[in-house]
Amino acid sequence: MNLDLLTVFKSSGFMHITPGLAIMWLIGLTLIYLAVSKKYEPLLLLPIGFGIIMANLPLADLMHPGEGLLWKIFHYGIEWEIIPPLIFLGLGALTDFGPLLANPVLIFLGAGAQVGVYITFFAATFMGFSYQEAATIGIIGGADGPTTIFLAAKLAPHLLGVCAVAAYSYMAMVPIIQPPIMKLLTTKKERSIRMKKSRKVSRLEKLLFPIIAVFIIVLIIPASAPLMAMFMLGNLFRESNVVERLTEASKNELMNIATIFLGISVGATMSAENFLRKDAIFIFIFGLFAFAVSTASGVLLAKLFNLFRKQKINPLIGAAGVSAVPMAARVVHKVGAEADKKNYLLMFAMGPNVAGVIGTVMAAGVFLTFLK
Amino acid sequence: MGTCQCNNRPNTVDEHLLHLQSIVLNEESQVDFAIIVVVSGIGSVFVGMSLLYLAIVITSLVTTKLEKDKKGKV
Repeated sequence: MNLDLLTVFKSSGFMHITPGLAIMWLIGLTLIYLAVSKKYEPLLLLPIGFGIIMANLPLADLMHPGEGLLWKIFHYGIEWEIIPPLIFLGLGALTDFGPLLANPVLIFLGAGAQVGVYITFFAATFMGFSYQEAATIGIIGGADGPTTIFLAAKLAPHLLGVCAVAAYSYMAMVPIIQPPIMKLLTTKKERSIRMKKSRKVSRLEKLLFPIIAVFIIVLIIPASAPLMAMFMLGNLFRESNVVERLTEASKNELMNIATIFLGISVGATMSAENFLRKDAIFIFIFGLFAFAVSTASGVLLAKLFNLFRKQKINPLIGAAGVSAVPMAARVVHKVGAEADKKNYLLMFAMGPNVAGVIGTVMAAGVFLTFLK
Repeated sequence: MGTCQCNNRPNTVDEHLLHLQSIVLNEESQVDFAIIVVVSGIGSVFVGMSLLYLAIVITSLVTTKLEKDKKGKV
């Protein structure tokens, strides 16, 4: 009897716990704590945290190729490019391009913020990361979780977990990271600039935009098609006003389901050997650097515009060019309101904010074109 | 395309710094290709955004004209 109990114990997972697995459990529990207690990106960090624990349970083999449950979700969801485009469909259904269409010049601020992505790519290449790894690290600066995951799955799957956690962590920390950079690069006078009231955008313009945009962007950067096409399809659902059920399904049920599987899949890739890398700390530092440079480049581009424009732009809205929607726009509004309480920047900042989503997808498409 | 000649990929902090040093000192360089990617990337994003900008402006002009014509007929 004693012998049988010993055999059962020896064949259990307890005998196979390693320090690496224990550290990953702690990381998973920390993410769950941050999601529940601090409400840091809970929709993603909660399933990611639990996914990490699931993937690091000894003998469970949940990530065993061809057999494990988590492997199947990851393989068919992420590697087959299903989940990130579904998330983009939902994002499209949630996005109002009105502020961008009302002030089309703000679209360039969404492009300006991508400079950080490429500078970080360059710096990471210098530090010995492969081109594919450097691109995956650089795209963190776009502050767009699904795009980071989409690119990582194609270029550097071994970095997917680290980069996704870095991207979502920094997105959660937008209110902490961005304001000091914005204040450093602007004067109080600049932060107080009031924007001219936007014109009214017609329904026809909103309806035509997703169709025109998908043609232009996908013809220029075909590799961006999976994300961009779904993004614009979701937006077309929204603006058409004739498929309310599809719009609701895209932005609610479908997006929620996709988010669950996205979070679990990301967590599942974070095995001890993938995550506890000697250079993981570099990836987090570069991610932060990318995010900071993207913020700065957006603000500086807005200031550059002001040199040539009669109607000045509040340079703070350049910081919303990173695509953390709508957090970055809210931060812009808050920092602007600190300089002038009656300055209402939120709707203006939403323009570069949604342009930032487009810009990050384009940046990822360029990386795919060159490096896949 | 310039590619890194290192046999081993750097992992530790020291190895990364040594790699950086080797690039600076020996001109062992990935820089040319990286520059092409950076310039093409930023260029493509700005060209794409410029075309989108033009498309938005043209669409706005056309729709405004259409709406004016419609109102004129009424």
